[in-house]
Order: sequence, then structure tokens, then C-alpha cells
Amino acid sequence: MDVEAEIDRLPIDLLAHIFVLFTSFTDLAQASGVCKKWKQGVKESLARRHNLSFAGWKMDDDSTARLVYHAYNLTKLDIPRSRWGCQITDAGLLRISFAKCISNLTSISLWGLTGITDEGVVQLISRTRSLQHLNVGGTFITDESLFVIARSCPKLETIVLWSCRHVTESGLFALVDQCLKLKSMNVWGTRVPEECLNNLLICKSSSSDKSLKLDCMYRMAFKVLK
Amino acid sequence: MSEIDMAVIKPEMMKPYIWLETSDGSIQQVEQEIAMYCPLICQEIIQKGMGSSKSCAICLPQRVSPVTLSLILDYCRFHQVPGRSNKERKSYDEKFIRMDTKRLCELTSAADSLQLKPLVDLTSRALARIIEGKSPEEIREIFHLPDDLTEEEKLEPLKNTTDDPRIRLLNRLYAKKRKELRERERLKNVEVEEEHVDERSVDDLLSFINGNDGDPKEVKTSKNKKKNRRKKEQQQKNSSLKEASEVNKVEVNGQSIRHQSAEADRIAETSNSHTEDVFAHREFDDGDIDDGIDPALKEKIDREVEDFARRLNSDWPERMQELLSSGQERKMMLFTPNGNSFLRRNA
Repeated sequence: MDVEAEIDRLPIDLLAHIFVLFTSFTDLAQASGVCKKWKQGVKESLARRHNLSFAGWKMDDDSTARLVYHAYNLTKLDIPRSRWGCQITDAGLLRISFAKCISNLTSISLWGLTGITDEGVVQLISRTRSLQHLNVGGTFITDESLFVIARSCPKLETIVLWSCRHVTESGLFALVDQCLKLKSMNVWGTRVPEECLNNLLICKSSSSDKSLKLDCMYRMAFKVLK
Repeated sequence: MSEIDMAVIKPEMMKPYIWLETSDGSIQQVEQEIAMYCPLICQEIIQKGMGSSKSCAICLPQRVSPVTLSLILDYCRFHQVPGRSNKERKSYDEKFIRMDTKRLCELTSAADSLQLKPLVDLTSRALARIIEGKSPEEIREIFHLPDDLTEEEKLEPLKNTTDDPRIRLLNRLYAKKRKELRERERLKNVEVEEEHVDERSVDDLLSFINGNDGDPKEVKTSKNKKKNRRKKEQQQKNSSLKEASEVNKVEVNGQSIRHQSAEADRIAETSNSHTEDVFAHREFDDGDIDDGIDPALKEKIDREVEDFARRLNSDWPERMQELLSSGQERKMMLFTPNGNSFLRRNA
């Protein structure tokens, strides 16, 4: 090529700024296949992102981990179950847990990932330090995960445990006891008895001046129907 | 510009015009109020007191040419007028960025060097819109970019997201071609080595040295036979490679499909690796598997693959278009059962 292409004169940080505006991972993938400079620009654009959502995308362990590794400044990570079916497993969460951004994450959503268990969640959550919002609704986690969340996430404010049918009152008590900033807990569809939920609220109000919003409307609606 | 900044400017500095020098050395006189919309120029005036005369004109960065400067000043002239509605600004911006990609790139670069963030965002969005939805080949064509990807990378498999048997067949074909490519490389190396190797036995050599009637031509003929055989093999491989490169030009809905592949590294290594390809996918196993099928069936499969490669252009785009459109249709937003969205979609 005789004359250098005009876009090739743009510095990599400016290319990255352009790639940050892409909403589709497909477009990012295509751009990274243009030339070496663009590939570097795509990596840099990932490093600039604060939010990463895989909602609606068919993601597997490998591709998710690769993207998260390059997103150094990530604060919000959203890996919900997509309509393509659950692709993320414990192995994927383990790989993600080694990414540099994990300690800075303030929000994680693993909503509906039926392929994950306590093993993966424990690995991931134990490396977070700044977590404020966690959504593990629709997963098969047990109290084991809740104990680790309680230990590792002192800044936790909201947690969604919707339809986590394997969690018990002891896990919830651990959360309320150790996460002093906890404001909201969604326990729809759990099998925790009603008295325990009432005790949770009492326990929270006595241990701190902040009240806990306990979201268990499903249970109450069920009671009314009875 | 803030009121505090304005207060810093001395009365003698407040002149209606300032002087700007562009990359080609030409000096222009510009309204100060408009020029100060650019943070870099504003800084030069406030901190260094530059631009008040032709002799101490503000030197603009290398990336700012006279043409782009006039465009930038037009943009500033419109946007620094107070009281314009957002609708007016939006429609002006839309008209403003209607230009060819070359000029758009120049403008982005110049706006960036003048630290004019609103214009950088505007032009970047315009460039992003041009790039979105295009294949690497199309992008290279639009922006006249070099293709510095290797032949190996181009023969790497497609991500089999839809479990389509056609992609499976294509990956098998690619794997076959990759194998042949490696084999060809190996043969080249062997040939170079063999040129220096004397294949005659010790007895032949001794009889030749002693001046006996051991005919060295015999050895040569066997060597020539080998070379001829090798040439034939080489030709066969070349023809199959041509076929592979033709298949590799397959287009899906006008976009040629190509993905990089890379082996999954060990967890600890990948976490520190910076050279790793972000969008790389692992190779598919079905490519390199020798299925252990009888030659007749293998021949049949090969025929099917070749036939498929020929037919691929005709009815594949429609099918792929269906899949792609169905994939893009639903931009998901997650909701917790009580109706509050937990995390909104922001890729």
C-alpha cells in the first residue's frame, strides 16, 4: 500500500475509544480480525470498559474468561443465563476468578446459571473485595456459598437469592450477621420457614441501625392464597 | 469555559481575534471566542498568553491541517452559541458528519489532538457506525488497511455455534488443508536437507573411490525417481490447497466468515498473558480425527465436502441470515421477579 490508510494514523487509544462504542461482541470480534493494530485496539477497548454484560449472547467458559481477562477496569459483570442455554460452568468461574478486575467488581450477576455450583461461586466470590450487589438467583448454590459471601463481602448491600432452593436459615443468618451494610435480600421461592425470616428481620434491626428490606412477596402471596 | 477561567484572563489578553498556525505552516486569524471552545487553544491563551499576534501564533498539533481546522471552527461556531435546543444541535451534528471516511478519520484525529471531546465522541460514533456489521475484508476495503494475517490464520475453523453440519464439514475440510500445509512445510525442510545427503551405500562409495565399475548413474536414477515422485505429491497438495483457499472465500450474507483459533492455556498462564487473542476460539476436534472409516466411505465424504464447498455460496447466506437475525432480535434485559431490573444490559 503506497499511502498509509488514514484510519491507520489514528493512535491506538483513539481506535480503542471507537471500539468502546460497539455494543455487539460480534462486531468486536470482526474488528479484531482486521489487522494487528486493530486487535490491540480491541484489547485496549475492553480494558476501558466498566460494565460487561453477556445478556442475550451465547457464551462459553473460554470466551467469557478471555473477555473478562482483558477488561482490567471492570466494575460490573453480568453473566446471566441466555436463551441459548446455560454455557458457563464452575471451570469458567474458576478461570474468571483469576482475572485482574475481580477484586474491583462492585456488581456480579450469575442469574439462572444452572451449570454452576458452590465450587465455582466460592472460587469467584472469595477473590472479590468490593462487592456491593450480587445476583445468584435461580442457581443451585447452598449455604456453603453464603458463608463465603458473608466472609468475603463486607460491603454487600443487595443480594438476590430468588429460587435458591438449597439455602437454609443458617446461611441467611450468616449473611445478616456479617454483612453489616446489607439493605436488601430477595428470598422468593426459597424453602426458608416464615418464622426464620421474621427472626432475620429482628436480628438485623437489633444488630444495626439500618433496616433490611426482605423481599419474599411470593411466600406472602402463597400464604394469602391458602 | 468556566467563569473562573474567564476571570484569569487579563483585559489586554481579551482580543476579538487570535492567530493559529497549522501543521503546514500557514497562519490563520480566528475569533477568540470560537477558538477558545477548544480546550488546548484555551490553555495556550490563558497559561502562556499566546496567539495575540502573528509573531506569537499558537502552534497547533501536527494532526491539524487547515481543512480540518476550518471544519472544527465551524463546529465550534455553531455549538458555542448559547440558547440552542438539543434538537437543533443534534440535527446539525448529523449533517456535519456526512463526509467521506478519509475526512472523518482526519477530523477525529484533529479533534482528539485539540482535546475537543464532544467532537471526538461525535466522529468516533460515526466511524463506529461505519465499522459495525461488516466483515474484516469489508473493513479493510473501506479503510484501505493492509492484511497482515497469515495463511495459517485464514485456514482456522469457524465457531460452530449453531451445530450446523455444514460448518462441521467445512471445519473438517479446513483441518485437512491445515494438515497438508504443515506437511508441505515439513517436506520443504526435508528436501533442503536431502540435497546434501549422499544416498549411496558404503560399498558403492568404496568401489567408486577405488575406480571400479560401480556405475554412479544407477544411484542417480533412483534419486531422480524419488524426486519425480515428490514433485507429483507436491502438485497434488498444491491443487488441494487451492481448493481450500477457494472454500475459505465463502461468504455469508456478503460477509466472509473467519475466526481466529487458539489453544486454551493453563489458568495461571492465561491470567497474565497479554499476547492471547481476545476472540480466539478453541479448535474443533472433529477436524483432525481419523474416523477409522473404510476408504470408500471416506471418498464419499470427501466428495460431499467438495460438493458442499461448491454449493456453499448459493443457499448458505439465506440460512445464516435467518440465524443471525434471530440472534439479534431479542436484546435481553434481566428482571428479578418483583419487576426491578437487577442489571441493565450494557455491553
